[in-house]
Amino acid sequence: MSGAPRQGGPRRGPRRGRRGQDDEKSWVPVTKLGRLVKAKKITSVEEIYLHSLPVKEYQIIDELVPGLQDKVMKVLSVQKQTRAGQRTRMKVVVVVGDSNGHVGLGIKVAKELATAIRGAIIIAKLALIPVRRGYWGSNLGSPHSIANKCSGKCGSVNVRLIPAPRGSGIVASPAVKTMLQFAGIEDIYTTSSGSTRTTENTLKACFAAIGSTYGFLTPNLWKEFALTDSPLDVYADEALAAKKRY
Amino acid sequence: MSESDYEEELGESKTFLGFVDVPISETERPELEDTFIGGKPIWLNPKSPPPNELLECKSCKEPMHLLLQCYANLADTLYDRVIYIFGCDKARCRRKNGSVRALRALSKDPDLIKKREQELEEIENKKKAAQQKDAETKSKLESLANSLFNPSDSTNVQSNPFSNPFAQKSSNPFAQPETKESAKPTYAEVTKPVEKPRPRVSAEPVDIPAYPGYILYVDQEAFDLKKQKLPPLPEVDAAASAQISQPNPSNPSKIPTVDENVSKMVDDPTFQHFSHIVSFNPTQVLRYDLNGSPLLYSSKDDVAKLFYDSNGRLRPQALIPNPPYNPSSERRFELQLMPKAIIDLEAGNDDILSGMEWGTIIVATDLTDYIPDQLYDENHVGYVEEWCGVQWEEELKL
Repeated sequence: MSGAPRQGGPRRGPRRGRRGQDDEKSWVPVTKLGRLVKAKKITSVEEIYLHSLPVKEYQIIDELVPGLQDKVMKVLSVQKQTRAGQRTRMKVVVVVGDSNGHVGLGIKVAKELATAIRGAIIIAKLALIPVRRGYWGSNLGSPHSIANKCSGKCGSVNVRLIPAPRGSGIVASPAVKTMLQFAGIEDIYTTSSGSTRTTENTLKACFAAIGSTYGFLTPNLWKEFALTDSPLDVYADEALAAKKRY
Repeated sequence: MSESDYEEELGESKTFLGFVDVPISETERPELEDTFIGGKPIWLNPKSPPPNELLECKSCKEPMHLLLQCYANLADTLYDRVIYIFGCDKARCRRKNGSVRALRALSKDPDLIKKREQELEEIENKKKAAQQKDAETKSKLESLANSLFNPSDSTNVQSNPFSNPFAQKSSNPFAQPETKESAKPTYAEVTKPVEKPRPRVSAEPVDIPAYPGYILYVDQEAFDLKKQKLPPLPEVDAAASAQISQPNPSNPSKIPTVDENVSKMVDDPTFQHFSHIVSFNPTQVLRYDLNGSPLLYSSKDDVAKLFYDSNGRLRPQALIPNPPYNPSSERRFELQLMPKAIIDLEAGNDDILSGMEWGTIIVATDLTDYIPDQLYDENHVGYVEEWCGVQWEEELKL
């Protein structure tokens, strides 16, 4: 080290090697789940759902669910009264989905529209949920509708999803219809009540309804297990003998 | 509210970032003045390793792996200073206190310091001499101009009445004695206790297990918007953006619902900020910012509570515990290790699941950079444990 007045901190010097120039292009995970996904130890998003793992990086979803589409459903400006006047911010509602059983909803407020949209997409990806699809009638072909009726509520808005026969299409208001399309449902009836003109709440109610599709433990999902004799039956003789002793 | 605070544009950063440069190998060996992750530690004096109890995990009492060695001398000091971070790699020690430890090492070798002092003075002298020379040539030119443009003044051609009489001399006559003076021992040096070097530990120095090592390359943090990796923007529907609706007073968006909470949980502003800052330089493994503030990984754990109060505001004074060996002093943030280091350290290891689980390791050191005299050994090297906060990841149960 030369005697020049020394700088604090680690020594800054020229790079020895020129490595990792192309590395910088790819995603560098900062969570363990991210590292597992990057190393292809986890290959499907269902493994994450099975263990209820928290997903903190949207790139995990990008990697595991290819072909994710996003759509900005609503842009509105919200204002807050401050001492210096009004502060206006942009609120964005985004729906993402792969049209094959995964859908997410993201809402973000930011000063700039672009930031809000980006943030909303990230939130929507992190909030991606699986959709349980089923049949209206007999189990022929691939699932086209949902397995059972379900409903969701947000604010005053109630959205109810009802299975429909093949060929019915999605019978819903435009916003709800987009979300159900992204979820990959082909035939469904819906009813809704309340102030459905607030797109945000309608979508949230619909999202809650879609989320509850996996909430029902229908008989065909019941776990098979062999019935064993009750211990009261197995040990009845011994119990009887023990009782006699006294 | 707090989310939007992070959207402020990022100004100049005083933080220095460490990036992986070359792997440590036979040909590329780290020196003391290098900063590196993994590998084996290089002690300030090969003959004085730290006491073994500083190198072992407080949970399993076994020697730990070196995570980082950072050569971090302070500005305007002449002694050597190194920060070490050690971590236990056992899965059962994870999330336990004392499974990651930071050491601060100083080497106050008087000979070396004297040498550096002299070098520093030489440079100062050279600078002074150069200044003198400048003044000399200037005065010469002036006198030349005088003699050229005032030919009538024939009495004294050479001398400029206003020129500095000392400027003629080639060197400063006071420069030499100055160095001599500094060579003399100062009062402080004379009175310094000499008899108190720490007795050498008789125990064998432990064999420290090692991860693969990488020498780091340190650079100032830059927020280059072009390099940042951002998710692409979708085309906003003309219809959607055109009908930006005005706030509806009857809009019942105040009612917090279950979904609102879910959305808030997903949108952890601290982590979002972390990944936003990291997205500018995704390959950073070390952040060095003396007196700065750490980039927190999560806002929920105990480490975050030292830096943020219950309202989520940054405390003016972080609640890092004071150094026990110097209780009147305080500790300040110095550096933090970033999760990219895990990828590098575990590069050869396929078993990510049993690997490290921290999000960031924060090290805070003594403000006065003090080590008690009795901790220095006969090689003038002293080691002291510093505060080290680990922000663990949320637990994964696979």
